[in-house]
Amino acid sequence: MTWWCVARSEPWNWTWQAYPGAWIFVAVVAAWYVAMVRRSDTPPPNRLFVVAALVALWVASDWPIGALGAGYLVSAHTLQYLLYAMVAPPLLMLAIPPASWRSPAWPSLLRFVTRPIPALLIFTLIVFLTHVPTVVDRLMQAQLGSFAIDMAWFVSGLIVWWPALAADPDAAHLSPPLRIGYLFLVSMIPGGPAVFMTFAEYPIYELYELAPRVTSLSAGQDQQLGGLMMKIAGFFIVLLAMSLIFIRWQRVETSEADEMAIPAFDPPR
Amino acid sequence: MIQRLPVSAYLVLALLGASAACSPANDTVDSSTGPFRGTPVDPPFPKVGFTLTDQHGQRFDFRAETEGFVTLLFFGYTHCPDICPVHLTNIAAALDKMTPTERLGVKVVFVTADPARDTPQRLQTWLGAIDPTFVGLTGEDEAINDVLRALHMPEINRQPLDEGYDVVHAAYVITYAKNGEGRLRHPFGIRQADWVHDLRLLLGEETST
Repeated sequence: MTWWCVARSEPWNWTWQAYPGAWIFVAVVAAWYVAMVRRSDTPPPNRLFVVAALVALWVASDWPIGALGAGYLVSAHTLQYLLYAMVAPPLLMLAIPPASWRSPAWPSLLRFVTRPIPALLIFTLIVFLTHVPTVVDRLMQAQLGSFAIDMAWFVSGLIVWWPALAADPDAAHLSPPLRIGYLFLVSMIPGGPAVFMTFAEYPIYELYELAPRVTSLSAGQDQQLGGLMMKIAGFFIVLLAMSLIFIRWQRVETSEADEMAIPAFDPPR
Repeated sequence: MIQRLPVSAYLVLALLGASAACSPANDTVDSSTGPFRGTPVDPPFPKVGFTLTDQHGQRFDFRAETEGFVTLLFFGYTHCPDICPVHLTNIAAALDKMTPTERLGVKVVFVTADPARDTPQRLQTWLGAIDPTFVGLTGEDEAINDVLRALHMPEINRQPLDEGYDVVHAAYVITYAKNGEGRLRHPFGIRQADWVHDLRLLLGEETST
């Protein structure tokens, strides 16, 4: 049985295939969330966030996206990256109950790596290393290697989104303008691998260059599509988050200004 | 206490990753193959002579029509699910990377190992979607087997499936130099950059008369 999506040398087949590891992974994340909610004294934020996060993780891990990304299409592999690192983590964080951010269960190591500079560096390192051709070509050939890359994206995504979205009262808070600036830096990180993928003269991944074709796109065109997705879609996701932080900041500023406003001068009658 | 790496260490690791990402494809050339990325044939063998029917229904004299060209000869079949389309697609992509002059110096000839299904019309449609300049040849089983035997390659071998059959065939391309010598075998797994590299070397060789 194949537990996790892995590269295969077989022609692509649109027949559904079971990957139990994907279901177990999503179930574990869901169970962790449920346990956290039950320990929390406060009700969770909108449940749609966690549902959307779980759906994103499931789509990224299971057939067909997981299978296509594991061994056939760079663009599908990039979609997995976007879902694991840029979609699911912020949604999960928005779903965490406020009281849970103060939980003593968060290890001190987590609090360290989720500070802005370590988080940026870790995310940069993971994004670059998981896009090195030798790393991709070798790791994607094994279930454990494919799983490692996927989990590296997910974990590094949680780490990098933490400084911007976490409501941890004990953490070093970034003010809203700094959060926006921080997210701008986050949006720049995937640009490195994206540039290589988009403008390389030849396909850079042997795995995908020699894979049986699934679409009418050539290996080079598929790689360019993946590079564009990585940069443009990733940027717009971060831009959305920056916009929401800005809008919320403006609302808070406006409501505070209203509270402090001097009552209008009433002219004498 | 958590051991902290200096910030510079993270930057160095990131740069190493980036530099590895931009290294050219297949830059580890096996010195035993000489300057080529494909497998040299030692000693080189003369170009085999045969005449089959091309995708336009015309007779194609392989030796005469490819004289003076760098020639890639590949045996496969259009119902091949993986090796054949990937091999030919990569060759086409590699040729697209070359200059028009270089491109004119190369001929790609695909001989079917499944003549029962690969009619001229089928070859024209299938090869046309990959590269309309590629030549597709078909014929009787025995005529094709004569060519395969002359090249010391396995003969046509049909393996029955639940529906239809599969065809077992050699997965490598025989590469002839401009002087007609069979110089290289390019197995499946050769990448586009390797093709461009080897074809340019062969095109740059003087033709001995």
